[in-house]
Amino acid sequence: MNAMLDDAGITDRGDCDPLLDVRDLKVHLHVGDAIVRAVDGVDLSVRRGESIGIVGESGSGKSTLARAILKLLPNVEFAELQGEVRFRGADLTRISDGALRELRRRNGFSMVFQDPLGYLNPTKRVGKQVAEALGGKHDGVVSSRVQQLLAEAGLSDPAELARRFPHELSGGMRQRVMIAIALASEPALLFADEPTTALDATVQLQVLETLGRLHRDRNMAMVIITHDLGVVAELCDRVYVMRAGKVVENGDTIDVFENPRHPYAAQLIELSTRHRRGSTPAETKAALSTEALSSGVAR
Amino acid sequence: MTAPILEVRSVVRTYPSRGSSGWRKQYANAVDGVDLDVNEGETLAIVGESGSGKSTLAKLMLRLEQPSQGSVLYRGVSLDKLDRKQWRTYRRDIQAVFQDPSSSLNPRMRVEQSLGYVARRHGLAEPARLRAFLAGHLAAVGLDPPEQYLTRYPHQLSGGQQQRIAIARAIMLEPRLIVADEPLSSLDISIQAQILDLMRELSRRMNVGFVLISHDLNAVQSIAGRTAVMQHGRIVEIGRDIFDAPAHPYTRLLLEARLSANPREARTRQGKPLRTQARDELSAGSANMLAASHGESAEATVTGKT
Repeated sequence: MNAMLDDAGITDRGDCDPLLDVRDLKVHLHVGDAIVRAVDGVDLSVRRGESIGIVGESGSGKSTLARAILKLLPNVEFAELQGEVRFRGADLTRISDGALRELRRRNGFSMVFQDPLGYLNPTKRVGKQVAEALGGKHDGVVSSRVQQLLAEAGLSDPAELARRFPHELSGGMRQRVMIAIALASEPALLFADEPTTALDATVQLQVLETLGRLHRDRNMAMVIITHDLGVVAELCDRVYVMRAGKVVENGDTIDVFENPRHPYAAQLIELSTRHRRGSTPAETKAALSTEALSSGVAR
Repeated sequence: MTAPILEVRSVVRTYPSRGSSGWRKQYANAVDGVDLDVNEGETLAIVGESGSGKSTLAKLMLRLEQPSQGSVLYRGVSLDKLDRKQWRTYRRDIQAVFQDPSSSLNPRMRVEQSLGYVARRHGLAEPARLRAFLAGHLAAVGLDPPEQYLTRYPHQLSGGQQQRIAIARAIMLEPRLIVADEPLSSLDISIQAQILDLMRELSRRMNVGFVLISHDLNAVQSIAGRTAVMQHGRIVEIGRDIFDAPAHPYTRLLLEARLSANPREARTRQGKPLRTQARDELSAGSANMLAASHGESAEATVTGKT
């Protein structure tokens, strides 16, 4: 472990549990004259090698939560930004920039976003962009490591692929390149924000399969942020249901899906499972008439 | 059974393809020989992945695109042969709702102006009664109290509310058919359910037909009478029971690609590969773009979602 991390208080030698521990995180933003409580007192923890789902509808604060944890929030003045984020024992809210960079560079955390085109450089070949994530000079060693990462992200013929530009790839392939870049730092924790939302169903399935395989083979912890309960059911050991900046329900995925305690969580699960077997209008009406949804948050 | 309101006859729509080089143009058929009848009052779903040509087909039905070959017939008359009077009834009878409601409403007009323009244009109400007329239609799409929404600008409304306004604008003209291109995909799941309920209610109360274009099989399953499955510009299967008895391997692939929403059935959690039987069948059949299991090598032909 290097000195920068020791200074930051990361004493972890690979056995710190939970890996990520968030306590009472608040992100309140100024929007015009109003204050929006995007994240309003969230507790969350991720154990080593565990996979977590954060679900909620648009505006529930799930993406802001992830950005706050990973220190990716825009550099603006917040009405309130407080709480404790412990990653491998160190408080990320107080960590130095150097130590943060070190965590992003090696064995720390990585993130995959919904829209890979927004994060890939259109003027550089994808191999080079993966190499940049590895750091160092682009030589033979790096280039074979790049191909290894691309292959691990589920891309066939990585040697040929590394020479292509992002616009020459399909949506699913771009997302796999993002995953390869994220894997370059050998992260202990991977955040994925709506990783398959922009993909076709058959491609989504293949990318989810890849994420599941990486999670198992590398014992890599994952946090999947999604609006789709199907993705959570497929990939996550535990789930947090968010609404209006708060976690309204959390627990083991099977428990929450089968015995949701909070009415809002129950509605979401009811709607997504009902969709899947078809429904009659009367049923949907009944499900929607309850107080839980009628006070839905406008975007 | 009455005559179909719209008939699509061997329609091909060709675009210059992305791979065109400077001096030799290449062409791709976005819609490649489609035959389809849309009957009065039916809800017909068209499903398929991106690049399958489903949106192009919707545009052809709305005459926002012209067919390269073949024709689209409205009550038996080809769309490019409608006379003035028929053209006017076509424009009233067939209405459109699009994916992104915020881009189909003028951001500089209040709801009242946006809808009022259409109402005046088509002489739907006396000027004195215009406001009451609009309010009635907003109430009909579940915006209550309607007066409160008339004075708002689109940005002051949520996505679901905007989509309801777009639907109100369509039903004002008492159309026979609404062509809705991905009306649900930008909406949250609870709002999706409400919009689907609204469509059901309109179809029951006014016998409005719908052509519902969607990539989401789950969403259409509950509402569609017939469902057409599109791939590479062609309809590979159409029928009432494609969900229960899919005949085409591609339909089975799409159905198997749906996530179960039941963690006990989740395939990845159990370490099972998600490769499906249907995919193996397809790959055995031909060099299909979905064939390769991990390899997305052939997938390059699929463009990103729009």
